[in-house]
Amino acid sequence: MTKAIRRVPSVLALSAAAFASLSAHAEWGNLNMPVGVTELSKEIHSLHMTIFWWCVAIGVFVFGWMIWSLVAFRKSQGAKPDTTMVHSTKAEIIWTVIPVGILVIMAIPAARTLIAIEDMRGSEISIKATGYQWKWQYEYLGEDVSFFSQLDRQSDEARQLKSGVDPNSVQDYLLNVDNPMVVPEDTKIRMLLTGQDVIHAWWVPAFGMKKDAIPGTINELWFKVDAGKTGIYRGQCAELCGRDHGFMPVVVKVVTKEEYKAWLAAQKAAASPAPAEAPADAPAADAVAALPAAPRG
Amino acid sequence: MAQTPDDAERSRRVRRSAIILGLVAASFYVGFILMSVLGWRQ
Amino acid sequence: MANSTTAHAHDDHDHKPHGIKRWLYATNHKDIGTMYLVFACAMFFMGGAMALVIRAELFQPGLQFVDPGFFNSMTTMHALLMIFGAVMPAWTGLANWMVPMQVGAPDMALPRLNNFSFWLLPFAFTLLLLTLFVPGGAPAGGWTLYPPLSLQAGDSFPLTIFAIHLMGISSILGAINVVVTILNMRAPGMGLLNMPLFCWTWLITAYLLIAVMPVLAGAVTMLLTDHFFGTSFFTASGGGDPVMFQHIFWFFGHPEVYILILPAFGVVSEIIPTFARKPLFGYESMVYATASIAFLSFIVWAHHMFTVGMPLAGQLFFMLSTMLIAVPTGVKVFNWCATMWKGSISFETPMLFALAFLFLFTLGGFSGLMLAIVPADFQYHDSYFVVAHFHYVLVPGAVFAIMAGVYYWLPKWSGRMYNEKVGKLHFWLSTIGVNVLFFPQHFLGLAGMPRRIPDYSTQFADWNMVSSIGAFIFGFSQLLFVYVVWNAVRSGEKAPARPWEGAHGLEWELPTPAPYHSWDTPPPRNVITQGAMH
Repeated sequence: MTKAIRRVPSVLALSAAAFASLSAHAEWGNLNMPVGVTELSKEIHSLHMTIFWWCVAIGVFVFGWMIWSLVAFRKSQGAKPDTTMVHSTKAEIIWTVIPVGILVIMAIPAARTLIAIEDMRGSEISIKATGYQWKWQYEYLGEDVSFFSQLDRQSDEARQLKSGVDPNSVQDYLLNVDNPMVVPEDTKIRMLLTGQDVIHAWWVPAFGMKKDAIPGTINELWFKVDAGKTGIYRGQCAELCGRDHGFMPVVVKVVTKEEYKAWLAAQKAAASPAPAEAPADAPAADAVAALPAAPRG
Repeated sequence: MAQTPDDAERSRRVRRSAIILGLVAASFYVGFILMSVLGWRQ
Repeated sequence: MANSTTAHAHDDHDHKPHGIKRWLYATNHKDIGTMYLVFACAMFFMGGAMALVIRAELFQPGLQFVDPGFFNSMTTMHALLMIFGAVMPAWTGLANWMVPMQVGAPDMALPRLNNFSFWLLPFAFTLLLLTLFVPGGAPAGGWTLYPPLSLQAGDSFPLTIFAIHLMGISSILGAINVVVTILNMRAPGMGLLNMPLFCWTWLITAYLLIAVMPVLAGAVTMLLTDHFFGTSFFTASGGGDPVMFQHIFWFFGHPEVYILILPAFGVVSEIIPTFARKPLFGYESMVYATASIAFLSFIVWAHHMFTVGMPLAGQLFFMLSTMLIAVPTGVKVFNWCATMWKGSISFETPMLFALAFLFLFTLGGFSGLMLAIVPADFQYHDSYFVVAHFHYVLVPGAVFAIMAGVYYWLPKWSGRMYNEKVGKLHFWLSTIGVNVLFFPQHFLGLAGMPRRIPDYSTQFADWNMVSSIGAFIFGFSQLLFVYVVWNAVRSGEKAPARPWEGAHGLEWELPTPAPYHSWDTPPPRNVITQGAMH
């Protein structure tokens, strides 16, 4: 044991060195929550970091205390037990009151963010997302635009059992869909979530939000992507929903307001000639899917 | 081990408290089902 | 003391049946305790094998070994086996062995009921394991059985429900037995506040079991009627509410996680004072902290379901009550630290496991505190961060404490010492393995990997591979545990009555191995007060 303790610093140094060399490879560096691209996600990230550092501080104290005791009071080093030390009301009060204080300090900003999260007022676009086994349907409320969004073909081929396709050769393996949801930047979007068959959950880590899509219930969440943060953001269904739970990604394409208007107009134009005929799994990125519900997978 | 009056008294107490605890468990079972039947959200 | 020792040695041969009848008709608390522990060990390995199937599939992106449906069955069955088959029976087994010895009783209060509650278990798990072979496969909707998904199960559905009913009855009866034993069978002179903490934590656990196992039974009964008898408690199309199931389930489920961990607090509270050679610091505050944790466990259930869309007030309430749990839990950790402070510490295997518990359970507590922060939970929920959190509190938490308890009391049970070298090897491999296995899962969850998926995006590949390597190290090193115990029982060195110099408590006043009937004559009062040194 003594030897083991003496070895600790060198082991730590070694693993730190090993770690530093590994983190040159980008994916080893995925250690923390992404900051995200919405104001809520930034607030959530900062809450996450605050509570994390509190835990680190408490951890340094508690683990420090434990390690100190284990090193200083070893029987092998001739430590004699102080058997009279069995109780201290003062200590008990201190280590009850201080944690309560820390919790109050944490609870206040958490409550403030929570209130902001629940404030749905002032949204400019409402999109209803319905979870199916195993795809998402997006309906742009009041716009008469609606389509299905499911795993893209390349990923779908590669993810078959013993497919022989190397997932590394597939672009955005398992995180790509045929028809992404499209939203404008700098606009408060309200999502209405429900499930058709079982419970699903809609999650885009970069937006900071996740909520369940439950049959018979409509849940709400909102997000507002910062101006200038156009791009494609990816997430996944986060509630076990059956066999292909791992294969129903959520992909959101954030565009400028002008691009959004053009996209919406194109959708409407494409939808009007033949609304019911378009196949649900049209491969083209911006194709419009049929309105009727597809049968359950 | 011969039964003494003390032992008899104790086994009575054991049986009584076991039955009470069993009834508590059963009432939790029935209670939660009833609550769901009647609908706890009104 | 010497007198009572010899008296017990003579009682040893009274009506002990032999062969299979000894086990089938067992009413002796030690025999039943042994059966519980052996059963738990078997389930631990079976559940562990399923975990290895999961980690083998997750070793690399892409599907190499199993169909996604079977993968979901594995996660579901792994959880059911580990929770209801391994950890809970292991605690009941330890309670059977230790409670009568620690309170100065000859046996459990209700020996025949004890036999019944054990023998329900093999039937329950036969039913559950049978589902692996029925059309539609084993249940694949998660151990939480959320409808409507769980209602889509095939022929496994009724088998699973009845298996859960049997497990529930078994643990309720076991819990009743523990409560009546502790309340009625204590030796004269042993007040409740003289009891060792293991008895205290088990007493409180038993009350939790009696309160919440029927709730689970009620929930699955309603699932059963929804599936077969046309009710719609939980189906939206019939006017039911799937979220109601989650409320009922977690009203059971949260106390359930304390059922798994409170006895661990008890075991650790016995082991740390022994090897620090110093009485437990703040005994009474430990009892009160345990009781507060048990109480709080009833009002925090909805923190498992922050994302179902609750009213703001509800979310705030469950956030605050959840954070509050950190306070009594912190009190416990601080008391253990204070127990070691100014002690005289040695590092035998039981102590090593207890220390790993102390460090790693605390780590799991930190991630628990993070999960309580609702806005952050919207990110953590159902991600690998949660998987890391609850495995940290259950594996190096509950499972390590069970192993610590087995190493600690094995000499008393078997009369023989285990091999300290192999025990320590088992400890180091387990501790390194468990951290390599679960620590990277924090990273995966924060980076956005959902739980319960058979395949993942390539950005998660590196840490999944590390995690899987850890899983195989941890899994295979558990074979050493079986070897150590087997080897000790077969051919270990003879152990003295008090193999640990710092051990206090009535069980160490009995001869080694402990006589078949623990305390036929109650221990003298001076032994009780001497044993209960706090």
